Amino acid sequence: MNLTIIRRLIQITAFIVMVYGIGLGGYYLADKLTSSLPALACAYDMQTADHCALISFQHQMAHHAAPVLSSGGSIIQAFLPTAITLGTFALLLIVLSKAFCGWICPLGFFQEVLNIIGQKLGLQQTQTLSKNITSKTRPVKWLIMIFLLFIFPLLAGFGVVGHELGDPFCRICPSRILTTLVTGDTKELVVDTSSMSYLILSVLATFLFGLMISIGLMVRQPFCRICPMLSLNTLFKKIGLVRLVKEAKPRCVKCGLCAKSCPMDIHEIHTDMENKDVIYPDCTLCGRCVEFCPDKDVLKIKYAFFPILSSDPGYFKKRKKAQTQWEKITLFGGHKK
Amino acid sequence: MKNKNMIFIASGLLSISHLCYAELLWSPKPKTPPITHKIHQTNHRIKEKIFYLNDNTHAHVKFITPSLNIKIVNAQKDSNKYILPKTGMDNYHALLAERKTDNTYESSLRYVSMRDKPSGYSPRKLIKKNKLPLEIVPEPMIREHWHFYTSNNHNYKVLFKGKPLADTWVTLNTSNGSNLDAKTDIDGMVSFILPEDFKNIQPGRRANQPEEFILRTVHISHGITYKTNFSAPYSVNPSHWNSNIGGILSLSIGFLSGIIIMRKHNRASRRAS
Ligand code: SF4
Ligand code: SF4
Ligand code: SF4
Repeated sequence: MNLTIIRRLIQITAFIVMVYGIGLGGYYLADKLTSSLPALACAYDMQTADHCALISFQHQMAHHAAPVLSSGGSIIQAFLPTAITLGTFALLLIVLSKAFCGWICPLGFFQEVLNIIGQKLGLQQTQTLSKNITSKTRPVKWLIMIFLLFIFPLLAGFGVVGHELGDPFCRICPSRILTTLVTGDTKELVVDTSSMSYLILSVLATFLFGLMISIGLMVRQPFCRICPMLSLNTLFKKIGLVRLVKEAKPRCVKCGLCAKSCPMDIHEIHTDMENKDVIYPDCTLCGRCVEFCPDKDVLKIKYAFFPILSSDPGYFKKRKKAQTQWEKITLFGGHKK
Repeated sequence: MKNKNMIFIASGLLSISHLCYAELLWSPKPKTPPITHKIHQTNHRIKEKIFYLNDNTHAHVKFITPSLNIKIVNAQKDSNKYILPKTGMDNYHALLAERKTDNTYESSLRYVSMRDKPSGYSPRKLIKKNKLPLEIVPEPMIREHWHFYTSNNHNYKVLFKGKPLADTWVTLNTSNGSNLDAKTDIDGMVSFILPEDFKNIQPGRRANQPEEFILRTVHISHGITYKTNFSAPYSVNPSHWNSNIGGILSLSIGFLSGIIIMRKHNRASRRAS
């Protein structure tokens, strides 16, 4: 038993709850729980147990904040619902921090499964993306957050841009297509011909979904790299009780196994020699860096002050062996790396 | 049609009340047919929610919040127009009208989605709550912000004093002119596929104003005729302008593009090393 196996079991359970929640808690579960989940469980999935905060923010901008402001309401009135959603979102992040991504998110899990499939099919894997590529993709999630979650929905609410841009992130979100498809509902895998803007948005969404699938077979977590949830939860990372702590040793300089194991290609987890708190914006708190660090107690996952897992040479050896054996199993005996 | 007799009986029962009052029925527009068609525009202001009762003589109107707080709503002066009060909560609220006479008990129910602060309550609390002696309960009520669409099947349960009412006729009428009927099963359940009865369908949900469907049922117990209705808006099914084939095609192009990008990337990184 290692951390990754435990994480997989939790991810499978979370996937079932988030995608097929009805069976467990009844039809209205999603409306009862938080509606502010820091993971892409989707409101368009009829059976979901709870849904992501992103749709709430977009709707609050377009259907509440903008109309209230344009009818002369105060800023407080306009943004009160958003503040409440943000508060719930923050409370959830206190409990699990960015681990919602690495442990709960159905879309995050789906991308991990894709990568396993790609590896088993023997497709050539790109284990680490170059710094050049990651530095280009990193800002995208911030832009998506600012424009697609807040600015366009607000402008749509004021009538400055078309109502099609009232929930622009949902329009292109891969989780909407994935989570409905796996419940046997094809109504989101469509091209919407009702207007030019909907046509463009729906073509973009389905195209992105296909792109994510094929790239996901060869690169780890392709969509996560531009997901606005990562930027949003980064704003609250200081309050989370789950922490990733590093106590760098001189040997770190030559090692770098942590960064290699990181599905999000966070090079800094290796190169950072000063900070103790090493939750970077792209981190999903999957814990792989801790598992693959061969040095004693250099990397740790803590819950508040209690250590959950500390890097350890013994654990590393076993984990490495397990990984090598796992990677040897391929359907057609294709590429290893 | 095998149901003809029953419709006849049901409509006969309905007409008993018509001796004194018009039917108690909620509507979002001042008069049910004819409904004027107006293209929906972007909401620039938060509008008040307004409903009209067909005939509100001696009617009592209640508005129930998701937390089951009851607010009494009075009609605007000399009219059948009701402006729903703000309750500080979002999600479904129940709008009820009741009228009792010596031998009849009429009621009309609809669920209204309000925009406000998150209520913190599951809509189940309100929808499952026994609100009327004879009640048509959507099973389930569509989730807030969802729509009843044509061609979709929906289930309803008929309850009398909180218990399922078996073998009872329920009629469905739409403002587009369709009439359907069905009998409840042993659990009081009945289901209807909303008819594809919109004419001149335009592409896009906003281009087609929603219409109303009304479910009605009647039950007689201890000499009292109980009559109730449940009404809600329904819309044109988006499959009229959404194409699955297009979706699959666009997904496939995305998929192939991903493969091409990765092949290029792999070639470039092999060259670099
Ligand atoms: S489409 Fe995406 S952003 Fe919108 S509700 Fe679904 S998961 Fe959330
Ligand atoms: S970053 Fe990935 S895991 Fe996190 S919410 Fe987005 S898709 Fe899910
Ligand atoms: S830094 Fe560590 S915990 Fe964070 S994503 Fe990378 S491997 Fe996972």
